[in-house]
Formats: sequence, structure tokens, C-alpha cells
Amino acid sequence: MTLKELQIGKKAVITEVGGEGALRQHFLDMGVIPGAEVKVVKYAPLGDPMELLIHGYSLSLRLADAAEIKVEELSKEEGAVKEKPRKKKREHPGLGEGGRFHEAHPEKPEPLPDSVKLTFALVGNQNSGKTTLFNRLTGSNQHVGNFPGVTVDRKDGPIKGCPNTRVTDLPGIYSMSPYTAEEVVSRSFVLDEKPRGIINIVDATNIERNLYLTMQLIEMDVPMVVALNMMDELTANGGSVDINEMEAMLGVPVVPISAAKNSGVDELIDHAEHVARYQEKPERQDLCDEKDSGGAVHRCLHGIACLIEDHATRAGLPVRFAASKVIEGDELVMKQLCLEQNEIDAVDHIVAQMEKERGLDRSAAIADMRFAFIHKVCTETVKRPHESKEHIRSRKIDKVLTGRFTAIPSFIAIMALVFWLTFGVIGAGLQGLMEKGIDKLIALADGAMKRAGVNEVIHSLLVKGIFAGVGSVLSFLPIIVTLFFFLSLLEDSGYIARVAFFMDKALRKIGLSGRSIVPLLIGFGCTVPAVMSTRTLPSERDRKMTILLTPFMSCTAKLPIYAFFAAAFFPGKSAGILIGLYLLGILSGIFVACIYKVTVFKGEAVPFVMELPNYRMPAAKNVGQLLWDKAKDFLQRAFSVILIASVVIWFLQSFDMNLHMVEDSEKSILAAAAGLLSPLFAPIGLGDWRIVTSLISGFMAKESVVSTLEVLFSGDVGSALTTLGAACLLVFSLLYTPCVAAIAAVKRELGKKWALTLIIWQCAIAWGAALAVRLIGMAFGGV
Amino acid sequence: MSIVDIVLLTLIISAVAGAGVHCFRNRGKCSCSECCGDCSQCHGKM
Repeated sequence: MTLKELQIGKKAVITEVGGEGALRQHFLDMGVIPGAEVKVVKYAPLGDPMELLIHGYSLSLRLADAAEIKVEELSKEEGAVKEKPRKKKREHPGLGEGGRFHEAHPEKPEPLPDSVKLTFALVGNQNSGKTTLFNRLTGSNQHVGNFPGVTVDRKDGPIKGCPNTRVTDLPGIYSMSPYTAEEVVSRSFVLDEKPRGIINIVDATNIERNLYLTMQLIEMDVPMVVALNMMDELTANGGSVDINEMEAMLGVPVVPISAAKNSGVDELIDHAEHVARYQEKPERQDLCDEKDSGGAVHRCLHGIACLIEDHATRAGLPVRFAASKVIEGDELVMKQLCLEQNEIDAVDHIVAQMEKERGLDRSAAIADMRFAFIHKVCTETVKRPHESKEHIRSRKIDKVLTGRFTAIPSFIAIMALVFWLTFGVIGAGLQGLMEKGIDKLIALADGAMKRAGVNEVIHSLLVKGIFAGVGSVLSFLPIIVTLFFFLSLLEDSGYIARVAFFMDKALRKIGLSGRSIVPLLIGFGCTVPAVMSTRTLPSERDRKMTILLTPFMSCTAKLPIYAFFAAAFFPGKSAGILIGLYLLGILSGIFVACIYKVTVFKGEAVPFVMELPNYRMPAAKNVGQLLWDKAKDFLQRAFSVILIASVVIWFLQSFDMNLHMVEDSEKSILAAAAGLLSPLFAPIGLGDWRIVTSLISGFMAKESVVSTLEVLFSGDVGSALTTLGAACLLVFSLLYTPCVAAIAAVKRELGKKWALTLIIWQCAIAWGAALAVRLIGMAFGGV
Repeated sequence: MSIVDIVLLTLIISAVAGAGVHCFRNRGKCSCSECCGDCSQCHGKM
């Protein structure tokens, strides 16, 4: 039978993993190997994908992929975990330590001089707590979240208290076989930049899967330390790890830590510094067992290692790592080795013989060898915890949030609640207070300047230019911070990974995979990080398509525009208008995605393979840090870009071509310049030169639309627009080109051509949609 | 021009110049406090 046919709650053992290419390798790397035990937990509400329990963690994959995996059902007794009696305690091997242990190894190389910078790579599986540890090590405040793939790029920093060091936080990877763009970043760093040491972070609550990467890192022959993270969680649930035994079996220092609680981190730093300073490489690399399944894999690995040794040395690759990658058929490594045809033939013969003797294909045989060793390590050293309270809690929450009939209503209810609280209750209330405060301050300053007899031009520049422009934008700070607060709660709790899980089938209908939902949801905050986060998507097609759809998810910078016009033209209906605009953005995105699917991005979305983390209580410090960062960023923009834009706009609308101050702004430089573009906007009812100017200024920063309008209209925008015109402007603002920062991010990810195409395409869509709104409005008697 | 005008004008010019310098120094730098892979810290290392 296939995994697809296995019923909910039933256990089975995998007998064959079908499929081909990178996806199959990814399955194998995730532990979906012949001999592994799986249990079907549930199906997504739309019937696809399915959630499995394998090696003690939750993995979701599509039914079409599950159909490629053959399994044999287990009875209840067969499925029970048998714990072996523990051996007696071993003395601490003392790897990575000085003192008597170091003196006992006089053959070790001399320490590197103090002037040599110790560089460390922080490597581990996704969602294993790398960034939390990075923040502890360096004292920085990088954003952390509770879903796989928060870190999409490397980040550097010196270790606190160790000035001549640099630790690099890398995106999470499951193995050294790169599957996504971010995984390439991590692999390239370790291979090409040759750090002095590796800090391998291992999730102690999920040791079996995490040690798979550890084994590959050991093969890299670089000094390394294993940081066994989340030990507090493991021990709290009755589990334990025999650290001494594990250290002896792996041949590298193992340090139990809890990055979140900052325990064990100092010890980790000591060990990392020691192994890097003394260049203490892993004590063993030969992790295959000659007795394992007749020793076919062992002989194959050693045979190929001998065969390619000279090529690997020339290419600067560790021999053992290169040998296992050659057996797996890793094209990048094969290319680097530059083997001759005779050698390639010899490799093929050795591998074919191994496949015949082992009864597994090359990739599965290597994965099986690794998991066999891991199984041995875990049997000897790990006392499995009972089901953690975090997992029990997650299961209970998931009954509602990912339940068959409750998942999608819950998602809609949660998003509606977030928007209602932001725009209708908390954010809007705080914004009102802020607005009143700013207005009072402006009135005070205005009065004071009048009393002091300040020059008319300076008075106008300050009140009508700077105060009006910057003040109008500043009042939206509370609403933006409130929305980010709720988005960060969704991110940190682990809910976003669930949304990806149950939305996969629906998103596939429009040509995307469930993983695309993460960048799209981040897009409601800001398009820049949303575009960046598409790096977690494994296919170029999905990545491009998702990037081009993120501008349809209305970012927080557009909020001031909506709130400004909704309050001016639709009093009492602001919350409804704002939510309607968000929905219109989403619907437009779906419509455009359908067009993309049958035109530029034909084909199917890539398979969905994702780990579902336990729900966690968002840490107040993380949320607070994120909100502070966002608020700081917003204030910096208000007092830099918006300030300059306000002064420039004030100048251009206050002076004519001869630099004489004008009474009527119709005679100003700005009126003449913007008037040239007005005919383009006239068909959509936005032909007023002041509106055109504000929309153009929005390209620099979206908040600038409001500040420009405030400067140009002095609070009387109602005179230039009808209600229908305001509706057209709202729709145009929702859909037209993202700001310059977002376009720069698109250019970085996709290149100049796509960035330029996006600007033109979004403007065309916005123009068309605004025209449609105008025509429909006019048909219903609007003007 | 009174002394108040001169003080105000100096303040405005300083603020605009400061904003300009800030924008110039931060050109291409990370936006929204997220790493864009293009700032001085990671530029060229991608």
C-alpha cells in the first residue's frame, strides 16, 4: 500500500520512497527513508496535504507525493517504542576543553595566534532556535519567529566579550543537499568561506532528524561544537540525554543549552572558542558501520573516497563529504571534482554494486546509513520524553484551528478580528488621540509664531509645509504599530505555518503552493520583507509568482492614505472601507494569479513539504523589539523622506518659475509640471494636478501621498474630489506601483527587467481598476 | 529678518540637511528593520 492510503491514526513502516530528483532527496533528508515509522495525524481541511508524525516530529506533504511512498501497515504492538536498558555512565570525554584533556593530546596543533579572527558558522535545522542563540551570542536583536524559514539571509556579529570573533547566523537547512535558495546560502558559506569553526544547533526535542545534518557537518572536517538546544523543554517532559556518551559517539563536543533561557551559552562559547583556537577537528568521520546490512555502503564509501581523494583535495572539498555526495549524485560536487571518464565509470560500477547488495538506490542507501547511525546514537544516549505539554497543547489547539470544518472559518475570524481591532478599536482610537495631540501642538506653534511676527515665508514653510506634511503622517503611527503587533503574534505563535498547511490546496488552484502564504501575509506589514521571505520557496517559478503578487497585499504604509480618505469622504464607515480595500487587494491578487497561471507562469506549483512547529506563547521581548523596530523605522521615514518631500512640495507649490512666491498655487512650478501628467489621470477622475503630484510622491514612500495632499490642500481635499473620485483614488492607491524600497527589493531578487515590468504592470492594473470603479459608479448615478 | 526668523531658518536648514544626510547614508540599506542583503553589513557577501 502507499502512504496516501494509510488511515488517520494508523502507523506504518516505509518500504520504498519513489519520485525523483531534488524533491526525493529532500524527502530522504527529512527522514522519509525505508524502514522509518510513520503515523498519519490528519488531513488538511480541504483534504490535502496530510500531516505525518515521523522521527517524533510533524511533517506535512501532499497526497500526490504520499502516493509515491510505499508503506507496510504496523499493528499496535509492532508500533510500540521499545526502550533499551541504559548502559552505565561514561566519564566525560572532555572534547573542546583545556586542562587535563587537552594536555593528554600533545599531538594537537599549536593554538592559532590571538590576532587570527575566529569565524563561526551557526548551522542547524529550520526553527531550531539559531537566531535566538545568535542574539544571545552577539547581543543583537535579530527578528525571530515560530515557523520554518524566518532567517532567509546570513547575519554576522562578534560574540559578546570576544572581540576578535565573528559568528554568522545562516538560514536553516535540513541537510547539505540544497533544496531552496536559502539552503544554498548556508551550504556555500560552510564550503566556500571555510569558517574556523561550526556551531551546530540541534533541537533536543527532535534529535533524530537534527542529527542528520550534524553527521554531514562532521564530514566537512571543520572544528565544531554541537549545541543541544531546548534541553529545558526535553527534561521538563521527562526526557534526558547522556551527554558524555553522545560526545564520545559523535567525536565532537556536545553542550546542552537553552538559548531562550540563556543557560549553557557561556559554556558553549568556551567550547567553540577552544575548538576553533586549537583547530580541533571532529575525532571521527567514519560514521558508517562495516557490519550494517552487510557493509555494502561502508565499502562503497571507502572505495570512492580512495578513488576521488586527489580530486577532492584539489577542489578543496573534504574527502569524506565529497565521497558521500558523489554516491548521492550531487551535481554541484561532481562538477567541482572534475573526475575523468574512467573514474566516473568506476564510481558508477561501485555504486551499482552497492545498490545491488544493499537493495536500496544510492540516495536512499546513504540516508539509511546515516539514520542507522543516528538510531544507534539515540538508542544509547537519549531517553525519549513523554509527549511534551507543548505538543499536547498544540494538538488541542489544532483540533479547532486546523480542524476539517473549523480551519477556514477560524482563519477568516482571526484575520477579521485583527483588522477590526486595528482599524476599528485600538489603532483607530489611539490614532484619534495622536491626531488631537499633534493638532494642538501645531496650533500652539502657529500661535507662537504669529505673536513673534515670524516672516510670512518661514511661517508658511513651517505650518503649511513641514508641520502639515510630517504631522499628518505621524498620526498614523499607532495604527501601524497595532497591525504589526497582531502580525507578530501570528508569526511568533506558530499559526502562520498552519495557514500554509491548510491553504495549500486552495492556493494550488491559483498556481501557488501553501508556503507562498507566508510571504503574502508578511506583505500586509511591509512588501520589502515579504519579497525577501520568498527565498524559502523551493522553485523559481513559485518565487517569481509570489513576489509579483505581494504588492496586492496592502502594506501598512498605505494605511494613512486609506484612513485619510475614508475619514474625509466616508465618515462613520472607515473600518468597513478599510477592510473592503484589503479584500479588494486580495481578490485582485487572486485574479492576477489566475492570469499568471495560464500565461507567464504555466505549470504546477512545487510539492509542499513543511514542518509544523508547536504553538508557543509569543515572547514579550520579541514582540516588543519588533514593534520598537517598526516604530523607529516609521519615525525615521517621517523625519527624513517625508520631511524632505514636504519641504520640496511646499517650495514647488509656493513659487513660480521666476522664484516669486505665488498667492494662487495654480501658477506654481508644481502645477505646471504635474499638469503635464494630468491628462493621463483625467479618465479616472484624478486629473487635478495636486492629486497627480501626491500619487507620484507616493512612489518614494506611500505615507508621502497624505503629507503631500495635506501640504497642497491645507486640509481641504474635499473641494477637489467627489465621493466617487475618492473611491477611484483609494482603488488606484491600493493597486499602483509599490514604493521605491519594495521595487529595489524586487530588483535584487528578480533583476531590473522584472522590477521595471512590475512598476508598469501595477500602474496599468491600478488605472484599469480605478476606471472600472468610475464607470460603475457613474452608471449608478455617481459623479 | 528678525532674530527669530534667523533661528527658525537655521533650524529648518539643519533639519532638512540632516534628513538629506540620513537618506544619503542609508541609501540601499535595509528597510523596515529587515535585512535586505544589500546593506553595508552584508553587501557583496551574497
